[in-house]
Amino acid sequence: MKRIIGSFSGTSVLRACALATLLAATGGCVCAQENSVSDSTALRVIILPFQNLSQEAQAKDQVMPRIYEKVESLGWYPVSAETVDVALRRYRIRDTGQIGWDHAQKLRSENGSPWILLGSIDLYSSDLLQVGISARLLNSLTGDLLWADSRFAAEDETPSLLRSRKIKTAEVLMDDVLKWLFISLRQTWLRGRLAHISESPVRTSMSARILIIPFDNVSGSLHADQMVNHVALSALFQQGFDVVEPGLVNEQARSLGVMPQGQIDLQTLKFLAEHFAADYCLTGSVIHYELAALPDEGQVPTIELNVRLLDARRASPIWSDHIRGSGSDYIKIFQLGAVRSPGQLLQRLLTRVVSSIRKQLALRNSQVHGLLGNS
Amino acid sequence: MTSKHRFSHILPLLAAAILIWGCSGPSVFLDRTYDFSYVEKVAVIPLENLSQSQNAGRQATLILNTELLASETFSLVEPGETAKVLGEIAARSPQYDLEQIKEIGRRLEAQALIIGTVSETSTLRSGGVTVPTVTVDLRMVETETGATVWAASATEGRPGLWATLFGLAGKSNSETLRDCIQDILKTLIK
Repeated sequence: MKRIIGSFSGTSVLRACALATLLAATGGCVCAQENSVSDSTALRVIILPFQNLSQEAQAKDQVMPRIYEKVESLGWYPVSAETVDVALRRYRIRDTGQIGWDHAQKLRSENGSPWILLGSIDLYSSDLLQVGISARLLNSLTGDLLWADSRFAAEDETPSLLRSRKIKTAEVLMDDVLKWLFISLRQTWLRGRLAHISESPVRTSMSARILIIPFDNVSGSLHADQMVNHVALSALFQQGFDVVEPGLVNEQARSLGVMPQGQIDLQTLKFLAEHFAADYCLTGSVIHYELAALPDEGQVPTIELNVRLLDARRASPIWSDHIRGSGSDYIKIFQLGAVRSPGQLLQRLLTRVVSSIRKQLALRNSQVHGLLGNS
Repeated sequence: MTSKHRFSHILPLLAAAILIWGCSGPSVFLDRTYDFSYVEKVAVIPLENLSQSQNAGRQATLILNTELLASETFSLVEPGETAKVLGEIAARSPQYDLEQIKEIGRRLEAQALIIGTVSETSTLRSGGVTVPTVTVDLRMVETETGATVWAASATEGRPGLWATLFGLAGKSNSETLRDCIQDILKTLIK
């Protein structure tokens, strides 16, 4: 596949991938039935309105049209916002930051596309000049997440030699964020993630499958928990974990009459683990989340998290940590290197967390293999 | 003024600051007749919050859970499971009777419960610096007999040496809370 892709470039590669997807989706005999994707709809993507977690109500109006443009620039055809809106109203889908299986199937059958792009505007501040967007691509045929990433930018963090390129507006930062998000999407897409797209909902990934139980928020900062959920999901995905779409997890938890947050009872966890064939469960709490002005350091974020990894099948804790970080921790000299965006600080902290988790799991698995070898 | 004379002024100040700074050990009760190796699994009951800070109880419970897990001394009941069992037996108050303690222990398969209170969270002003202060009480109750086998109380957040002497900024609320809980747990777990 790599050789074939090597002979194409740019948009033609994407079209080739889409064609391969089309073939994968229509190749089997079963696919001729309900799940078949016709030629004309193979490249269609349903874009759900991004959940706006920022304080600025108009952020969505700024971001969504640009996302449609970016999707079109990839060579895909987004289902029009009006059509999606009608479907959302018809099926009474209010929370578009995540999606359950039932709603995903309805949207897929109505719009004839298995791909759903959804996400959130985590930060958008015209005053502080900070923008952060999380996005993910879902295959509604299988419920697999094909791609997830979060990107953040703040005025002071934008690489500019001796401040020669002064960022003036949040729109400019938004364009930067979207540019990097879609570069990430394109790179991931070309790295063989097409294997995830299959007609059969049988799990094919060999990666550890992990479900995220929404973080609890005791920081008093509105939406801090949701932002942590999104960044954690992206960090896990980027480090090779097979993450279950949070909307699917919440849907199943609701069906049991529970809404776990920061903690989960064993019965629910075992049910979810079995239902999603999940190996691990990540949860935790946001203890402190603040963007504060410090003397001589300008405005820097401070974040404190409590993170736990549970063995999903045995419902026992594997790893736990208390992480604290401040934007000023990264100052090299004279305020240079300070992290001004809470989103970027979160990314750094959670990337560290996920690396620790990977090491812990590798150690644990080698111990288990050692025990099996001895026996 | 010679440098020797300058030191003679600073030294008593330093000594006094160290004295004030170092006088904050936890009060501890430990049942020395009890065999703690019997305790394999403990459940943390969400700490009661008697302070002004709305989230102090939840924050302290989270920190306590992590610190207990980090100590690798006991295995810990998943907090969600504890919450579920407490909800089912309608035991929301931290003042449990013997039957409730036994029932919680049986359902969670825990040999001991850790119960406690965040008594105070306040902010003291020391010169130009504000210093968060917290007081936490914890106790371990054996689930078979309901007996308290360990209890400790500590206050953390007195102005530090550097804050006292040089007016440097101290720790945040959650850092202070964490230090306080670590101090208390040190009296149980070496």
